[in-house]
Amino acid sequence: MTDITGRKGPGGAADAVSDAATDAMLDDIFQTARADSAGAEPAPGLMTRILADAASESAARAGQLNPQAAPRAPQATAGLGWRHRLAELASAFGGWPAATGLAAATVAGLWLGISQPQLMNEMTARYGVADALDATLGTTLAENGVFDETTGASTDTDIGANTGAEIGAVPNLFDDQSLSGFEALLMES
Amino acid sequence: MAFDALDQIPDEDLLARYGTGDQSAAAELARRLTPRVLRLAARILGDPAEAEDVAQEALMRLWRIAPDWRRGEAQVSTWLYRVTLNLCTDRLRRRRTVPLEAAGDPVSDQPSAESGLLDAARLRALDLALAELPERQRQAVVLRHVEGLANPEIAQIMQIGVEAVESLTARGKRALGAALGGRKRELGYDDD
Repeated sequence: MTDITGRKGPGGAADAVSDAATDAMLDDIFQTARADSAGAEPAPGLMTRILADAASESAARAGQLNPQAAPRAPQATAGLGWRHRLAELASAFGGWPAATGLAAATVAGLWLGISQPQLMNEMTARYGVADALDATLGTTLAENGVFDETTGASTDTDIGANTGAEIGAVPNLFDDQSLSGFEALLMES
Repeated sequence: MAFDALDQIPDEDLLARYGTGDQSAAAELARRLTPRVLRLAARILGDPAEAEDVAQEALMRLWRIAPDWRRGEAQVSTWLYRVTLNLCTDRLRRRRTVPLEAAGDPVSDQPSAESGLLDAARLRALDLALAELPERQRQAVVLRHVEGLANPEIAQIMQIGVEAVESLTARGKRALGAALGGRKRELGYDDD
């Protein structure tokens, strides 16, 4: 017998015929197997799963290569946005120093409005809002520069402080006294 | 690039394109390679359902290696055949104690409409005889005589020498002849 390696087996002529027939049979069965396999298309479900694997693998790889493409955690986004918006607000008012002064003025105004409402009413009625604030807060607002920016008054803190002291002290006394003095002179005349 | 031009692109180039996210390249690779992987796994395992699982896993490994693929080191199909054989080996080892009859329907037990009953009987006989071969002989015989690959490529797939391939296929074919030789008449062949 002769196998595919060309080696001779121990059998005689009958074996050789039989082996050749067996080889032919095997070759025919192999041919049938090839034809059977070639005609068998993969099931649509299998192809769908394979292509889905390909797509998910691409997506996973894209996520690893470009982490910024992945959505941020909601909390981190919210925190960053709050700080960012606050910084923008401070910048709009001239930076953090000005914003600090504005905050101090706001607190002081609130305190005055609550603790001495009558005083504020009288002063605003006589001198207007800007002068009343200047007189009441004195150097606090002027030193922070906020008062000057919001009213257009002099930026000289000494003047502001002085003006406040003068306005706050003089008019109530002087005006009342002067009026009383004129009235006395008229009466006497 | 138009879809009809994809079939002109070598496997390796398609794999590189898929590595950059081109899903049409993946579809073309799957169209080319899945049938080959599937029928190899089916012949080795003798179980169509299990062969589908192996084919899907083998292609998954191809998708994963795409960005790291080294051009020129191996053909994509050769690499994929090797992965498929390794996956089959793993499954065969896991079911080593399971009788063949319980491993699932043989591949040739579900003939297509065109296959005659005689062909179905022949293919079933082949599958049963292949299942009795030692694993490496079975792999070599299927790659050589069913897949029709040349011995040098089989040597690359199985990571052995060409002479070892020749030895495995020769011994495997002799064993098949011994198993099926006595059934010539039953399978529709002359007995001499």
